[in-house]
Amino acid sequence: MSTELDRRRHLSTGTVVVSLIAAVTGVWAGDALASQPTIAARVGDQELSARVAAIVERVSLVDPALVRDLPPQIKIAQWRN
Amino acid sequence: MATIGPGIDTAAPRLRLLVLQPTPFCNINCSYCYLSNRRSVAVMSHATLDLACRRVFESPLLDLQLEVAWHGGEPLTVPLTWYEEAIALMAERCPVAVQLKHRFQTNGLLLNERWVRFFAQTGATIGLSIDGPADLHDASRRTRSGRGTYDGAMRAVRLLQDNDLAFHVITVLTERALDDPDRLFDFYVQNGIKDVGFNIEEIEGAHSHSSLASADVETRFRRFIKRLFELVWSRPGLLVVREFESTVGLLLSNKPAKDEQNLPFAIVSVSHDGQLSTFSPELLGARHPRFETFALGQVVVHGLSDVECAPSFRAINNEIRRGVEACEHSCRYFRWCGGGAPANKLFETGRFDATETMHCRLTRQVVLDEVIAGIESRIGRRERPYDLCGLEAP
Repeated sequence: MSTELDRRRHLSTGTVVVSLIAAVTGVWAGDALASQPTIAARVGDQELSARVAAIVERVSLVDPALVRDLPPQIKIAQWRN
Repeated sequence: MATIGPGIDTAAPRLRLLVLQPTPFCNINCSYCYLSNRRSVAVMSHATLDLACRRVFESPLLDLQLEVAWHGGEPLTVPLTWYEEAIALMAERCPVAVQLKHRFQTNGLLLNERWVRFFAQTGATIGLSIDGPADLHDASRRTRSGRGTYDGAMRAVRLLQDNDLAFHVITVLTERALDDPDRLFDFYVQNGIKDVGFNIEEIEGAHSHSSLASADVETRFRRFIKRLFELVWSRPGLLVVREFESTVGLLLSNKPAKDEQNLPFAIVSVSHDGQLSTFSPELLGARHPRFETFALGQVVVHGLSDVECAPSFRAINNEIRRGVEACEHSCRYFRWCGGGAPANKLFETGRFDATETMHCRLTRQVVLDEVIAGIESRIGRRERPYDLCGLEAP
């Protein structure tokens, strides 16, 4: 079973760094999704929340851990010097 | 404690970031700096630090993990021996159940082997301020005599790398950087920089004009973010960009975003002379016609619960709450933003209860737009990631 932990262990070795983006790109690299229609085709110009929901749905189908294992607060701010 | 806002659990621990200003002094003179007193060579006394620790560690708002951000001025202008004593003091005062994590944000010019050993021993994390290749970096980050600081900053990069010490970079984006995301990406990769956060040139404090405030900048900023996302996505794991990590995290989270800058006492800032503040750390030391100062207390006499009762705190908190509520009612990005940064609202519009700012348009709205569109455009595609941008495989 391909778990988030497995992926992160792989990502933390060598010159590659731990990255949620990298984990999500891994979702898209999976063959299992190849036959499904694209999100853009499904939702067109729908509202932002529908577009995000479609992305979340797609990610959770392949790797639910990426959706549920997130911290409740994510910091954006960091102060310059 | 008194009620501090709708929807906020007043009893819940939320104090997770303590910003300490060991000195306001900076050894360089960046063109976009917001600090007005960066020539002052005053240094926080250990007695003041001791009182600051007491105020924070006695607070019921303290969470189980506390990040301590040493942020000046330039923190490394204070002698290393001062920090050795300071960190020992903090460890001694810290409740057993609370884990401290020290962070230093530095221009790197004074970094040497002794500092590196200290960072390694204390487990402190280091952020270097580097604006990209020499021409971009030296355009803004100069000494008071006008010399560029690029060579010194890159010497710090090599020193940290030679000692296997992880670090991140903060790059301030000015208008001149927007048209060349490929060159910035290549700069990080070629120099072994793996973790970067982008701050924009903000209108804040002593810096009252931004090169990003002109009419065509949003379009160029959008192109910059779009291309940078393509580059990062195409070579997964090679470069971590804080804005993309945060945004994807927000998109995949089951809970709406909260901006800790809007939550009273989620961040506590203490100046070198013991003044206490909360909300955006940039507020401490700033002045404003309506509020005068944002120093809401003094560690010698005030605990955090005293600050909460002060009329000035209530006035600021109420206005910030109104601003967040206005964002919630008017902005389609609110679910993934949490209401914007109070300091940017104030310094751009003159009020905390404003909604949209240049800062939020660029750092929240545009980034969300481009990350969502970037992910959508790739769903269902099966090409190898690095094919997307015509790059060589890693």
